[in-house]
Amino acid sequence: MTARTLLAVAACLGGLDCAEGPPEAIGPAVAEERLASIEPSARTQLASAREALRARPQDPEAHGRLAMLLHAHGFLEAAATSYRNAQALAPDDARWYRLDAHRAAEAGDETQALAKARRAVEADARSVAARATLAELELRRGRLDESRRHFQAALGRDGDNAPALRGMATLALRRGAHAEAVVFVEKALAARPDDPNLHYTAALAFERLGDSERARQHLAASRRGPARRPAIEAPPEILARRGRGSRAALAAGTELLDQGRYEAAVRALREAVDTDPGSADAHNALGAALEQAGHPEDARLHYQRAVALEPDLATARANLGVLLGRLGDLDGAVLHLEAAARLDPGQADVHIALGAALEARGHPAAAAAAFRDALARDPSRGRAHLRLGVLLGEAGELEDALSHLRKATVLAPESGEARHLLSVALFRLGDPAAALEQERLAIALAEAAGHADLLGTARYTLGLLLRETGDLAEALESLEAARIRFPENADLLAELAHTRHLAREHGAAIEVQTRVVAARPGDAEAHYRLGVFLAASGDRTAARTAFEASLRVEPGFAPASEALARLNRER
Amino acid sequence: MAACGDDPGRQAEGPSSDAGGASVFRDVSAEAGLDFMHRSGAAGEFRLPEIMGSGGALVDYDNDGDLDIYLVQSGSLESGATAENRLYRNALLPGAAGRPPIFADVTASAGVGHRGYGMGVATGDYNNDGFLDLFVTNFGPNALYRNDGDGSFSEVGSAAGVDDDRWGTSAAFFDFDRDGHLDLFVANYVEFRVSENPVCRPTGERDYCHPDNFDPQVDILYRNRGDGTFVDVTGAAGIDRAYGSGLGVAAVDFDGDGWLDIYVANDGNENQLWRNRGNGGFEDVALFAGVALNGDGAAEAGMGIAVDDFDRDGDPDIFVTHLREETNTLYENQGGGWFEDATFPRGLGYPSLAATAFGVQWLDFDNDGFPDLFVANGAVALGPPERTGVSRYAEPNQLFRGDGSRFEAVPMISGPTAALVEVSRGAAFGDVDGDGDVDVLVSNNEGPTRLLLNQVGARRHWISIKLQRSQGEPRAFGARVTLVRQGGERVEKVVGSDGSYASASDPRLHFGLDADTEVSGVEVIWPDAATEFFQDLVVNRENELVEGAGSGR
Repeated sequence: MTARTLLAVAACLGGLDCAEGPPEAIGPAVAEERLASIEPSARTQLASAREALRARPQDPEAHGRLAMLLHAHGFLEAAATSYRNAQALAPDDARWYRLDAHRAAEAGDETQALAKARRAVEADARSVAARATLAELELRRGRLDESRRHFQAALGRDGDNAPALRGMATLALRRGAHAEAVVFVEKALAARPDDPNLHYTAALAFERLGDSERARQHLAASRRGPARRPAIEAPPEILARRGRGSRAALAAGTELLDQGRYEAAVRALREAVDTDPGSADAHNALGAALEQAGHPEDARLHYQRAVALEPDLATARANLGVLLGRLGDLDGAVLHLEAAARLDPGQADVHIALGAALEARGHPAAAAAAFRDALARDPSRGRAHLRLGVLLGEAGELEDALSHLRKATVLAPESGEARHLLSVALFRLGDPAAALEQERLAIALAEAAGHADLLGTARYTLGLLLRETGDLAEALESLEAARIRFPENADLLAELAHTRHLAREHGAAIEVQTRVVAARPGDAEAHYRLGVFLAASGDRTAARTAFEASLRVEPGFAPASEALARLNRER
Repeated sequence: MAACGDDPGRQAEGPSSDAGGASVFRDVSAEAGLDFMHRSGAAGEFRLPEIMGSGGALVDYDNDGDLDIYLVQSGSLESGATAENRLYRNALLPGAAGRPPIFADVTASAGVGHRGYGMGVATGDYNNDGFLDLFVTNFGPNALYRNDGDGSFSEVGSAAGVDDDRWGTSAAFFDFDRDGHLDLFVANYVEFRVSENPVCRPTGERDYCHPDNFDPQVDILYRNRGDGTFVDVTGAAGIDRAYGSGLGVAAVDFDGDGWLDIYVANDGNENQLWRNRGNGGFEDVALFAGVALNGDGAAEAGMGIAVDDFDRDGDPDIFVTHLREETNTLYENQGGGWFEDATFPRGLGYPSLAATAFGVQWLDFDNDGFPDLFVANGAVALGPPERTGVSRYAEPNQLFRGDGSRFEAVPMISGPTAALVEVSRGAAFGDVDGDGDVDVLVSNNEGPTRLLLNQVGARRHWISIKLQRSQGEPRAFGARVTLVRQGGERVEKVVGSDGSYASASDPRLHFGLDADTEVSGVEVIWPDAATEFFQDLVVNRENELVEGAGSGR
């Protein structure tokens, strides 16, 4: 007989369950296939608990700890065995009966759950947790008087016990005492202000009291919690053991991310990664949290790790691609976004991001194809219509461009950018009146949204449109307004100078064009235009100098040589 | 009032003879000639429609008094490779009640071999010609088969304006505007495209994606114009103001105002209770009525629906089936427009934690006068890998016996078929063998359809009610029928074929009477709200109540 077998015999003599447990281990067996389905950290914890039990087979705490771990990770039959062992060794300890009651409830065995909970109360009538567990089980059983008695006993010892207060609120609701329900649930909410179940109970109580506004407030608060909750809620001791797993941390972190609590999400997701470094999902989620929290380089590392661990994880590919695009690595962005689109072709967002990266990379045809792919998945994506419209316009396919830009404005009527780009396309199609209307709308929307760059661009375009329609005064006003936003933009200055020239404001035209020449000394056109404005002002000498400068920059520049010849003829 | 139906062939034995541990149901599919095998087209791509299964109908399409069977086939999501739906005619002969019926496949002659990727079926006489028609929902365009009354059908979905191509699941015929013509509600599920099937590994292993990965679709309400066509009034009626991933639908007058309301079970989203305002409009009152979420305020994975007044307090209660680790949920009608989650107190919570449930119906399987529940189960997520020989999605179905207050699970099949564990989806209910108890038709995903004949109900007394209207829709869908038992107890039921999951049941009403050998009468509130009382009914028979033949109208 080996020492290990001797220990097992001793345990049997001690009243423990002898039917369970493999010969090579202490504690009940769990099939290898099922063990393989839990996280590595949980397997380690279970192994440690078994080691502790091997060292102290008569220790009820050792059996209880193993039971809680088995319970936490869903091995309910094995947990039952260990709980029974703990109960046999410590018959007066209410904990093991109470937790066993929860286990039985999770296993769907109401009769055993009630029996265990009653035994817990017998073992320790002062235990608030035991009372609350029994009360909850009696409530589920529909024995309302019994339930109330135990909830009241729990509250007699701990008046702020949230489960007991919620139980009393539920009981009050059941018998139509809605005001009383409100009193209990509000007290419970003071202790657990984020508990979605409590908020839902409060919503029902207030609605039935006729206070719909407060009912709606609580309903909204209840929706801030997780949408799906287990039908049988585990006790804190079990939740804590589940919480050590990476999946729990991942779930918690993802939820924080969804709520916009990025720093907290980073903390939770770091725990998930630390617990299970091989989890691509955890790295991907941590990357997203880091990116949102303003740490793009750290985010990139975790996205890359996720992709390395699971190359087919489309969301990680997409996240990495988008981030690389933001960081200026357009080749990397295209590579990963193409992979994401291939892995999960239904995501319009991915196709749009791919289109944007390809467009920035200078591949307009491929970009247009990506935007078309996005629209095939979701025709309501205004961004895809917008960029496709722009690309088609640049390719000279103006009618198609106009069609997509119009759709963009319909889908995103508040988008000043869409209005602006539609205006440009309309102008290019020869409809300046319609273009003007869209550009004025673009300005109004940009002003309302506080988009300074778009506002400047739209005013610039409006200036050109107004000039085209002959309204030089308003054109100048608009171009000057744009100049405030882009004071050094040479294109803008050149157009402004030209407009001043058309308005016969020669001095102003020369002043502005001189700035253009200063900004672009190697631009023959700029020198030539300055010459034209100088000639119009009557300064033929300076004009000659300007035309000569133009020809020095680009010998043979026809407009300058012709202008110079004209000056010579008129001498 | 006319008493009709076949002699059950034996004397009812009364309450001393109950199930007593014997098999409640016997699977007679094979011997009855029911050889339907559902095919989902699953081939390792884990495309969502493949796991949703399909339903079937128990429908007396030829008006010969016995229930025929229509079964919806899915087939393949690859174009051009779909299999066809099938219609089986019940060849039950007069005097043969209680023996397994023999079914003949009449699909070809009836012209109902629809080849869409099928989901569900609803039955109703939409053109008031006395013959039940079939509405078939698909992952793709839906179809309407008009019963031509000569054993054949014509597909008129497009002509009737009901061939919407969204992913339809359950549907219900009901007369929401009380104009005497059955309207149609279609629950739509999610927007799924075969070409854009995402890869999901919810537990690390590739599996079907949760429906949260897809956008829910708006349900559809069609108003029957009365000329053989329908008009989509979804927007006008306000039905588009709230929607989820719809899987179950039931039309019942929940608030007793005389207008049929609609309850929709959504998979993972809040359910809707569309209160009929009587003016063509509906409003969703589910949230504060307490039927949008469970008692803890959590949205559950709603699949099938069963509605009945299980506690006999005069108002309809709702039972909704859900995912494993959620409970199925019993919403007990408290009156005043409020419901309470009574799942656990009624004993239905714990037993439902371990299974994913779809088809469901209240039925009094043992004719003791108390509604029981049949629940068809089958997972949508892979089960433990150690199970061999059965699908990893297979789960046993459940039968709960009720005593008017609580329910307890009872074994329903014994003997060689005790191990019948499959991936069940749709379930339809009716007395197929005409022996006076309710039988069950179960559709299994990627598996054979089962016809479970009730072996025990006929030991107690029963009565069956069939309504016949003098004008308008003949079967009086939506009529409220209250049986007044000896001693004065009132038991109310509503005429209709809807509920469950993707399936249609016999609209005739079946009441278990336990030891009662007679009833005091039946009160009928017709769809136009007129009330009529019928007496001199015969127990252990089907009684046809003809509008105008009673008293008080």
